[in-house]
Amino acid sequence: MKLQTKIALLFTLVCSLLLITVSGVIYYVANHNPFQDFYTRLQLRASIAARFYLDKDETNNKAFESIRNEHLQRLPDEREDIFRLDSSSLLKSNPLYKELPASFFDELRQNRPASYREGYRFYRGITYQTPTGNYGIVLSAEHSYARSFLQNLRTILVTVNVLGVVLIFTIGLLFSRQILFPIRRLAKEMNAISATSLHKRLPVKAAGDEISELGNTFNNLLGRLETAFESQNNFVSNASHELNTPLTAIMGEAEYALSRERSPETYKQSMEVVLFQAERLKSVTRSLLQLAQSGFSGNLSYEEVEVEALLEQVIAMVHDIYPDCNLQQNNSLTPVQKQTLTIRGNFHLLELCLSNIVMNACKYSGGNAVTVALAVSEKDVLFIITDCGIGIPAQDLPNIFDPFFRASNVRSSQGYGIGLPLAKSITTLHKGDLKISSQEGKGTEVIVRFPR
Amino acid sequence: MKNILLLSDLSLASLWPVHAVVKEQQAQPLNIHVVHMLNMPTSITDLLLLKSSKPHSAVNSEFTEALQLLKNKYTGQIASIGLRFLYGDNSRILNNYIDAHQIDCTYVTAAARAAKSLDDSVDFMPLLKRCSVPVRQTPLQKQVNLGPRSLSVLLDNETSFSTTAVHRSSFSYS
Repeated sequence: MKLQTKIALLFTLVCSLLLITVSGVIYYVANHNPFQDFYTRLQLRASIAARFYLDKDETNNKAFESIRNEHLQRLPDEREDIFRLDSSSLLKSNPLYKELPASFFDELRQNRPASYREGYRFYRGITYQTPTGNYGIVLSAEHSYARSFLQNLRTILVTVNVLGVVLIFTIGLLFSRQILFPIRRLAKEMNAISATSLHKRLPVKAAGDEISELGNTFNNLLGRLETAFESQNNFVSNASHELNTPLTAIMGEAEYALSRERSPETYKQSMEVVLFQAERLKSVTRSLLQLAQSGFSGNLSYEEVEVEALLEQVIAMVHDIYPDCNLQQNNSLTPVQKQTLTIRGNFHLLELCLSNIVMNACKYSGGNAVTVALAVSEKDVLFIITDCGIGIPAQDLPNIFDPFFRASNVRSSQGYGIGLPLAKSITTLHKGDLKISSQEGKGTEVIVRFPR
Repeated sequence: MKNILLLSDLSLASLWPVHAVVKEQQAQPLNIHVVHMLNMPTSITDLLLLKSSKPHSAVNSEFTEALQLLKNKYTGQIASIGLRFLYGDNSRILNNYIDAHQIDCTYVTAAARAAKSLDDSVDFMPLLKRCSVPVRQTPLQKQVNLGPRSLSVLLDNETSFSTTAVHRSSFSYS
C-alpha cells in the first residue's frame, strides 16, 4: 500500500471515530431526555380525569367535562386507567398491572406521582383520595413528537456520518498528497543523479524542516561519494604513474645498454641504475601492499599494547632511518603512571602508523626539533607530534589522506604519498582518529588518538 | 590544600599556566578554578531562561579534552580542575568569587586576548588591577602557533631527552 493511502486511511479512521462518537453521544443524550413537559401534561390530564370520574359533586363534574372537551385536545392513543390502590387483589386483576413494573405501583402506594416510559409510550400515575378509598389514575399516551424528532435526528446523524467519512477520506488523500509532495519531488531529482553526474546536488530550501534536512543529508552523502570517486580516480592515475616512472627508467637504461656493444663499466653502471629503480619499484609495491592490508580487519591479532614500549620502539626506529633528526620526547603532558597505559591493537600496525608520521615530521622539519608528546584524556591516549618544518599548504590539507597525493611544496624530496593514508587507515582500523593542523612555513601538528 | 583561580579566554593557550601553578605552589593538592567571565544578559527573557549548562555546551571539545589531559598529567598534585562561568563584568564580582571560594592566587596568561570567544565574553584583563589576591601573569611559551585548536601550545619545554640520548634497541626494519 502506498504511504499516501496509508496516511489518508489513518486520518479517516481517527476523524471518523471522533465523528461517530460525537453523534452517538448526541443521540444518547437526546433519547434519554426526560421529556418532563410531556409528563406534566399527562399529570394535568390525570388529575382532571380523577376529578371527573371520582368526585361526587355534579356541578364540578360538569365543569371538568366541559374543560376536557373544550380545552384539552386528545393525545394520540390516549388511555385512562382508574383502579383502587388499597385492594391488592383488584389491582392484580387490572391488565395495567402486567404492563407496568412493580416499582411504579410502589411509588403510587407511597402517595407519589410515578412515571414510566416504554418506547414512545409514556405513563404517568397519580393517586386520588376519596371517602370510598384510595384510587390510582394512570394516564398514558403515545409521544408522537418525540418519535418523529428522534427518527429525524437518526436520519440526520447517519447521513452526516456517511457523508463525513467520505469527505474526510477525500481531504485526507489531498492532505497526504500535499505532505508527500516534497518527498516525491526529491525522489525524482535523485533519479536524475547518476555516477557520471555526481557533482549535481539536490535543491534544498532553507526552511529547516525534516525534508530539507533529508535533502541536506543526501547532499552530504553525495559530497562524500564524489570525494571517494575522485580519490579513487586519483589513486589509479597516481599509482600507475608511480609504477610507470621506475619501469620507464629501467627500460630506457636497458635499451641504452643493449643498443650496441659497451664496456663492462658502462654495463655495471646501467645495472646499478636498473637495481636502484627496481628497489624503488619494490618499495612502492610494498607500501601498496601494507596499505591494502591495513584496510581490512579480517585476520588481525589484537593485543594490549604498552604505550611506552610502543613509543620507545617508534623513536628508535625513526632514529635509525633519520639519524640526523632532532627528535625530542616531551613529557609535559604525560601522566606519571605511564607504564600501565595500554591500548588495544596490533603492535606492528600501530608502530607502522606512528613511525610513518614521525618520519614525515623528520623529513620535512628541515633540521628543526620534532617533538613527540604523549597525553591521556578520559577516553583516549593521544600522541602529539609537532614539527617546525615547511608545513602543508592550506589548499592541500583536504587531500593529504589520498593515496599518492603529495603536497605541492614537497616536490623536491623523495616520497610516494603512501605514509599518511596508511597511518589514517590504521587509526580508523583501531577506532582512533588522526587530526592534522598545519600552517605553511611554520610547522605541522599531528594528533593521533586511540581509545584506551 | 590551595585554591587557585585561572582566568581563561577559553583558548587552549590560556590553560598553559597550569604547568606554572603546579611548579610554583607548594601546598598541594590544588583546586584549580578555571573561570571564564560572561556578561549578564540584559533582556528579561534571557535572564529567565538563564541556564548554567548553556555556556558549557558552547565550549569546544578541544578545551574540555585539554582539561582532562592536564588533570591526568597532574593526578597527585591537582585535586580538582574544572571550568566555571562567572556572570558579571566588574572586579567586585571577581573579588566576591575569590572570597567565596577562598582563592589564594590568580593566574592568567599574558597572551589572553580580549577577543571574544563566546558572544558575551568579558575582557577580564582590566579587572585584574583591583583583584584582592596576588595575580601572576605567565608568559606564553615560545611555541609555533598552529591555529587555535592546536594542542602543542600546552607543551612545556621539559623534554626527557634529545636524540643523542636515545638508546638503540634491537629491532630490524623489514
